[in-house]
Amino acid sequence: MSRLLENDSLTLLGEGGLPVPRYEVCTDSNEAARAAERLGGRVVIKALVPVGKRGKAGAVKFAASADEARAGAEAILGMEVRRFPVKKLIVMEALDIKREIFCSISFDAPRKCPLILFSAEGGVDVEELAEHHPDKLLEWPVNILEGLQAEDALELAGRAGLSGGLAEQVASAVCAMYGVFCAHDCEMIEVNPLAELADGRVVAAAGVVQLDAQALFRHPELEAKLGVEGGNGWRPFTELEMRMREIDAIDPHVGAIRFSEMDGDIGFMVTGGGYGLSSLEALLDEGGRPATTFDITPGRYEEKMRRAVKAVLSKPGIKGLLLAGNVSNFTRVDIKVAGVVRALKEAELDFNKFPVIIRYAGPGVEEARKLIAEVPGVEWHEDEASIEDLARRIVARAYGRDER
Amino acid sequence: MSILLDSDTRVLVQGATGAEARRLLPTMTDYGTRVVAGVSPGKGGELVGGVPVYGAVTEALKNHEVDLSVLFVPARFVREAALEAIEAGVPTVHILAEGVPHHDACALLTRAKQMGTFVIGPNSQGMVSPGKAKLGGTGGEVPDLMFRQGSVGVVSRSGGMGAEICLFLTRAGIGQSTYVALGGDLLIGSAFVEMLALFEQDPETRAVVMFGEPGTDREEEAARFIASGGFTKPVVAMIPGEFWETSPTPASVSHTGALITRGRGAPSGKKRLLNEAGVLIAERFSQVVPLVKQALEQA
Repeated sequence: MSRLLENDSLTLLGEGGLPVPRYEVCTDSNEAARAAERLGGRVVIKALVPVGKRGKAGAVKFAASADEARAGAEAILGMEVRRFPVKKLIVMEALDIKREIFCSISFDAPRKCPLILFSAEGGVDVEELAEHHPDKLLEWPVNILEGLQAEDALELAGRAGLSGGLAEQVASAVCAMYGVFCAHDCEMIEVNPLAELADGRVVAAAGVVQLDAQALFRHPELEAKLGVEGGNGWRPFTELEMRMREIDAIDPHVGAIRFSEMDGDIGFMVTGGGYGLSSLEALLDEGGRPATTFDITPGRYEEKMRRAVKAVLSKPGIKGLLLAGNVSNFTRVDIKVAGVVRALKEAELDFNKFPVIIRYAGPGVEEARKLIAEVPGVEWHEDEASIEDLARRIVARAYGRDER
Repeated sequence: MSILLDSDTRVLVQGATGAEARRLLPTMTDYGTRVVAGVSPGKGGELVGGVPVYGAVTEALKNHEVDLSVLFVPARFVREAALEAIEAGVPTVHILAEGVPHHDACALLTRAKQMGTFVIGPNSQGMVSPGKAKLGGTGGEVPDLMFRQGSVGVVSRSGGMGAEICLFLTRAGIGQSTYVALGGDLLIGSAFVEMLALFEQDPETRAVVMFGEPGTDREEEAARFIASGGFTKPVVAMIPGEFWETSPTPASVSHTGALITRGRGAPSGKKRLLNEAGVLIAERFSQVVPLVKQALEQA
């Protein structure tokens, strides 16, 4: 996942010229108390986790003193927010917010341009607002070759009903956001709320920055911040997922692996985005319960396949394995199969009892067929087998409903 | 006359001296693709597979007429290479690279729109007019296994599934007019609507298969286009992934995602709209071939 944590997001926005609140990152409650003192006593304490809606999960607390901050920090540390254990906190100066504004920048696929979404009525319920009062959510497409001009941002603020000094401050904040969006190859930036404070200042009270994973080669300093804490985007990585990441790391230049573990009992290693998705749908249709999903980009990845298959076979309770891919154009299927065959031989299973069903088609298929023949009991298919044939076969054999 | 790519389409290859092009260019010319020149900055004067290579697109255009440029350029150099072709006035630019940064894709697509350039990709696996010509990796070393000349247009957001659909059509004896892999990225030059408009004008095409995916509203656009009479031949569509809609959805991390999609992009909605527009929906892969047969009877 390429989403920065809140502290890194705010740092990036602050460096880009957007006013952000003062904050500190803490790992225990005493630190939080000291941070609260330094920040003036009145603070907000939030769980530093890579998911949103922390407030609704009880992982945001207000404190009026260092002691309250300590107590709040203790309550939040050790909590789990949507399966993410809270190990770090962000302690932020409390803001006296008069008005909450919503602003985000992302790419719009139909118009093929950066799109600013803006509402003068921001806050946590902005989706409901958009649903019931779509006129209150402004869409502002930007020509990426021309950029966002200051006068355009001011017009946007005006159309949203803001005026005077507030409109000017907001316009300058939106321009700063757009600058960050371009400078760091962001996929999405969201500031909600962009807060108008009682003293008249405009501050990004919370921010999310999502980077473009395809552009990280230009931003090694940001890539280093992404780490594994973000998990798969909605829960932390499992042990098996961490192991697969290590396997993927043995050679970063060959065959990038995408893997996720699921609750089922059929090892599902069907490659190709569209083909994998279609196959997963067919497997579910047949009553199959997938234990994994797996994809690997083309390349000479025999060793990665060997280790990946062994890792999937090691999952407790697994009842069968389906390995397949759409008809290959260039990637020789015998390279893939060579790794698979080594893993199966090393597994020392009786493949008449533990079903392994394999389907590959394309260049190298004759060689692959010979390799597979070295492992008795493995069921081999080529271009004649359809997605549903394979789903039906693995479900029948793994769940003992063999129709052969 | 096939859409976009025919036996007499004059093709320029950018990134001609790179490993990908050296490997794939001979398979393209062997198949019949009319590659007139290559471009590789600093490598002017070389020959790749008998094709003369120039240091810049403008140099190549001084010596050759070009209808289409196919980019074998690595993702990080795509922006520069594509803009070079667009500025030089190449009518169609076909981008194969996977992993082009969004900001780069956005910039080159914006310029292409200003210049009236037709763009396919980025992240297109290729394009084939069976029996005539092919571009990119699609069909690879085994084009006749997957493709045969005929009257069904195939358009896919997934390169792998496009190839798989063509394989099963070919196995059933149903040939294709042209197959285009649109590219799976968020920002791509052409989508279903552009292809349907071309297929509508193509007398060799009698029906079209589209393979869609969850996300964006490209299939919804296609449904509106068909419903409004923009495409009058029969269409078969497959869009997997409806099961995700009922599985526990990941906790949303931002409001923007929800605001951008606002209910669009779900396979069920795409299929419903397409069905209302008269498209035959293949709920499962095995239904594609029978529905295409049915469509050809209607055509």
